[in-house]
Amino acid sequence: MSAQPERRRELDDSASGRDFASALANGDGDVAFEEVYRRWSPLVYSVARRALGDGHEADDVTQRVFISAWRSRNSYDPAAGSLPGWLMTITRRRIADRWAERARDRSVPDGDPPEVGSAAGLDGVVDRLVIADELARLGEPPGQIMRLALYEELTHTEIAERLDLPLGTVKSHIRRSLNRLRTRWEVIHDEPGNDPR
Amino acid sequence: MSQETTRGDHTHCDPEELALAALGERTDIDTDHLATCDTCQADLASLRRIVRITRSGDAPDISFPAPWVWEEINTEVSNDATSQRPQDARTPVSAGQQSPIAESPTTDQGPAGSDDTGVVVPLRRRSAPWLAAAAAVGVLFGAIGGVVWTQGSNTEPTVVAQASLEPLPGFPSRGVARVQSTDVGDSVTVDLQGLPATEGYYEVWLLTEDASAMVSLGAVGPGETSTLPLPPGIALDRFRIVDISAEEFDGDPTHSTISVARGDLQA
Repeated sequence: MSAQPERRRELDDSASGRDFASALANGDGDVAFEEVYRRWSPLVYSVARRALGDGHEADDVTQRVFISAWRSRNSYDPAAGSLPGWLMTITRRRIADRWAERARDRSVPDGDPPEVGSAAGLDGVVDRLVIADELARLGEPPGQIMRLALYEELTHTEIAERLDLPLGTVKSHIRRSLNRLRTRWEVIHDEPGNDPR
Repeated sequence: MSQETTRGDHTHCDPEELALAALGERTDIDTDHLATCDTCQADLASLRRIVRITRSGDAPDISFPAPWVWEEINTEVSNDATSQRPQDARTPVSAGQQSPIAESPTTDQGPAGSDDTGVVVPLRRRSAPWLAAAAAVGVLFGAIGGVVWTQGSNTEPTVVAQASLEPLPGFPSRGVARVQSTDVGDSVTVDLQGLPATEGYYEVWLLTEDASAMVSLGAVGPGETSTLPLPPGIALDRFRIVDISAEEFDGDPTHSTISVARGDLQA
């Protein structure tokens, strides 16, 4: 499903990928790429960590993802899909590579057992982490309100009491934040037409 | 926005009520309208999907890759940028537009570099924004929760708490602070990457969550891993915010109010 243009405009960070693409065209791609890394590496790493169950392997996959992204940077077209969507496509591939290596080596990873072992299972992980990543960026009090509403399933009345905030404030934050989470999820879920390596 | 939204001849459902309905609350939503309006139904369905996704499992941690990951990537990126930029035929640029080849993109600007990079966090004179920022950091890391760094191993000294240091707007620095316990006392090791070069220095502080009190731990330099002793007996559950400030050699021992990175200590 496509994110509506007016919704995309609500997110004026590196999500659009246009900043990165224009920096590449201007020869400032390396500087812009660091910004891309800073903004999106926690999401990439967290997905890999859930998929592989091991922090060290997730570090390794994160490195491979961003090196893949850098090497195929000139094939990235912001008109064809969002930057994080593109990065998530690469992340899925590098995780699949790692799974294949494990299957070949029959290696048993140290650490926690991975949460998922298939591409289909990975989709759910990506979805939840994309939203968690955006939740962590909401600021306060909206972030806390949304965590109470989504994860602890408190009603807006209960949240208002717990945080000692006016009901109207809580309702307004819930509306805005839930719309923002939706926009982020749709922007990333919008499967890119780009074909990274 | 508490009134219903009007588009053309239709009075659509109140967006706040739609959001509450998506969360499964009982609301005063206009069910008669909802039953006949494709727009409101689609709106509700897409919000419900977000709620369903978040409630389909636990609250997942967002955590950070180890510092070496960027170092390795940056080596590749810098090499490419150095070798490709001058003859890159796909993106011709004039000499004037061409930026100097950056050996280290993170050291291009100091804390007082370009106009939009200075983050001034008022400390004592105007405490409200500072409080809000400190509270935001606290709850942000509350959300992330748990131990966010994974680089530890059994061979290191006992790490009793750590904080993932997040850049504040306008600064590229991030890192980790680890509180270590040894026989001879406690210390905090601060590992920061991306600190801009400075003519002054950077200082490490521990703050209370409401920034009502702060303790200076000492100075750190760009690109260094520094281990600083902790005052014996300091209550880390109270002084739980690790803050890195950009300081000048001005003889003023108080916080400059310019913070470049900050994080919340987690046991």
